[in-house]
Amino acid sequence: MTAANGWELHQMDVKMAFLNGDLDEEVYMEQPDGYVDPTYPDKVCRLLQALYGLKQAPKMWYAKHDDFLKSQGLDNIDPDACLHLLMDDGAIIISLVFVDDLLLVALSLAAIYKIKDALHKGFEMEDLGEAKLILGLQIRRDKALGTLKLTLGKYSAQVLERFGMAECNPIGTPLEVGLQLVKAD
Amino acid sequence: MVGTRPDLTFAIGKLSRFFSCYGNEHWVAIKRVLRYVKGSMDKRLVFDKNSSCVLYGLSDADWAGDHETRCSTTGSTFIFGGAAVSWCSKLQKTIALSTMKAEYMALCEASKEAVWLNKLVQGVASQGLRTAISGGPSNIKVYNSGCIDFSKNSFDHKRTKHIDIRFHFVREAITSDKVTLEHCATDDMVADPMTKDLSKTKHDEHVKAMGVC
Repeated sequence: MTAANGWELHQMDVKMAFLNGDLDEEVYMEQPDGYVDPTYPDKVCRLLQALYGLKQAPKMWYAKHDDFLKSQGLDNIDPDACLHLLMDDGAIIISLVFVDDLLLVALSLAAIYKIKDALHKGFEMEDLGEAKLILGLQIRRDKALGTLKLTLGKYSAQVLERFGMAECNPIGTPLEVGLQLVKAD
Repeated sequence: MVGTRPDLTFAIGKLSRFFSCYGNEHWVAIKRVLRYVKGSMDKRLVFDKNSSCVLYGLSDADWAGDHETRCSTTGSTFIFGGAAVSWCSKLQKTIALSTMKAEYMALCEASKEAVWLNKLVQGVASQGLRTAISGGPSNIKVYNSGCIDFSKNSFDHKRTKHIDIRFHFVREAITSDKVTLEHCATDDMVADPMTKDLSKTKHDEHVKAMGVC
């Protein structure tokens, strides 16, 4: 859709995403090694915010992120929990989140900057500009031609390198026609 | 690597069955896959603004493709904006007694995906879209006409009475107007590389139709 409509596609990264989560229950931890209070070595700490490694952390981060986007007018659409969107007089803003990687899609750059500003205020974020590499997926766009190309080329090269196949002879199909494989003993 | 490579899905699925019981022939096969990857490193999944923004799917099956269990393979792909947005190649869990039944089971998988994808597309698409998107059911192309007839015909007879209830999801999807079926010639069955090993010409043709070029 981004390609078809010539929308803007930008990317952001949330710094230490899971630390943003608010806990809705009481969680305690032992005092960390090296930071034990000499007066009360037997006491434990009550957590006020989520920490990495906590089993609630991913859910709490999602809840916080979800609430934040909703406060900005972006509603979650039913089929995908990670997709939020806002329709505002033909100006569409879509946010797609994968843990701490955010893809933002909008009709205009102005709309992208607007949502980015809001996100910067809400969380500690890093702006990665136009989306080029997300989760190993390279994105190449040619706006004049209206194409959007996705590839995992870099990863493929790494895999070939790792298995010593970087210099192998290329072949046209992945499997031999009529190949019958059976379990080996 | 399969994230942008529908052309590799079947090969990887087939070889993955031998993780715990491989021999020399499996090594030869996996090295061939890597040689294919090497030869197609510059291929990309290309979405194009001039392509249609109407979602459609193709569903296919290979009857009794697994030589040890005689299970069939389900294959499907969904095209949107000129390239594949979702694809699947999966060994079926139960044995199909005919190609029609294998196709029917594959169609059930494809329908489930179609219903979800259609909801997603409709959810995003309303205002602000240059290209009109039809609000109707998603169209799935199937090669086996017996399978199409059986999906629309709501009574069971002697040879089909054993088919598990779960596969009749297709019928419900059709009657509730979520999915429509269309016949497609075998040469145009773009989901073919999801279920079988094809010759180079056919493989390249179908893979290109999935937007990998």
